[in-house]
Amino acid sequence: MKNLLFSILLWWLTIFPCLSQDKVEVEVRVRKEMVPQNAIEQVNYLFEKGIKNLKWYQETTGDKISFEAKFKFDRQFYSVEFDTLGRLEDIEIEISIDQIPDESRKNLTAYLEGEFQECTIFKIQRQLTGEIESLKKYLERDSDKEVTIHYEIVLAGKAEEWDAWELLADSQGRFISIQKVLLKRFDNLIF
Amino acid sequence: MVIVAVFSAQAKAQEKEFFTGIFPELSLTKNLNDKQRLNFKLEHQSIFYERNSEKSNPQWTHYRTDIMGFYDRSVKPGFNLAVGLFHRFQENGDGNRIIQQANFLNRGRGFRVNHRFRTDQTFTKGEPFEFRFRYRLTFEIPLQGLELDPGESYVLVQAESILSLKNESPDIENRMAFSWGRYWSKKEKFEIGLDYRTDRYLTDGFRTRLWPKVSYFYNF
Repeated sequence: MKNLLFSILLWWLTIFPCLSQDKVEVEVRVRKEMVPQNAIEQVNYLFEKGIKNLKWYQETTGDKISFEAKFKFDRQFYSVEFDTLGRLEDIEIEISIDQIPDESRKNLTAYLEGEFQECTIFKIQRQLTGEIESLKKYLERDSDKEVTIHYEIVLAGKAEEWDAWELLADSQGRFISIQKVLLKRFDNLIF
Repeated sequence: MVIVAVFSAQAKAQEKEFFTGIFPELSLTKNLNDKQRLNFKLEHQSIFYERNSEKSNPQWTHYRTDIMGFYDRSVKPGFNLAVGLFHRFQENGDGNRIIQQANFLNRGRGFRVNHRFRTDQTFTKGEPFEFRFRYRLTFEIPLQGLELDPGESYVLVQAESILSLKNESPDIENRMAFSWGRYWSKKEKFEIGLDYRTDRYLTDGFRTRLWPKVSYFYNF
């Protein structure tokens, strides 16, 4: 028994320094003072009043660094992403499937029914890109001209087997791309 | 609520037996593919303080060393089934156990919650056969950002209730654990925490155990 434990311990110590070299994606909460001033100003301009629980995050994906404002506005969850110079990249709004216009929803549903035997939607985000004035008009529900709308949908779908997927569709609910998503490891939660 | 109620009731119970010590844990997971994995786990418990002990305190008494292996399969994203084999080295006769478990993992905004349902059957030398039903609720809360990323820390809160049947007499065990963890990389996690256990609610000799726990998880 002692020999077994000793062998396992020895092996463990030899693998210990071999820390992973994986590409990492890290999102860290940051203070407002660390965020580019124009990013803060754009959030204030776009949403003016009624923002709740505004938190700023710095996201590092490989070499790319960005800043994200996450908050609740008008009973929906928003995420606004900026580059390090404070240039607005996109706005994401978490929505339910009922909030997708009828025609787009039909196209989307038809795609999902054609692709999967069964599926469960985990999360839908409406992604908005465009000039700040156009985005402002969109948010004020005046106009969706000059705003590019995409839908990002995270779902569990059964084709031959069940998998997690991330689907990107255009404003009409038409397929753009799909990729498998690997869930983060959770061996410490299940064993 | 049942767990909270039972833990409150436990406070009223007489503290007859109590011991504490160390509890290191090593978990190695081999991912066969994105659906299937094998897990090997080693747990060790040694006592360094025992109330009403025949030995003088502080002491260094081997309590248990458990080795176990699991085969786990993802049925659907967030739903896993696993079976396992377990062997326990202990003073009064080693034991063997067969384990079956189902896990349901949900993601919330800023946390993950896992429901683990487990049944096991234990065969211990010189003791009657034991059947147990276990439910464990785990919350994992990242301390930086809304999602846990490599290089970040997290907090883990666990509560588990165990119903056992041995010689037709039932018993209850409750466990609470609070840990701080570090997600070093996509392959490694490290946790330190406290694991508090109470048992023998329905049989003689109500018992509490407190284990400072150190865990290391490696995926390959």
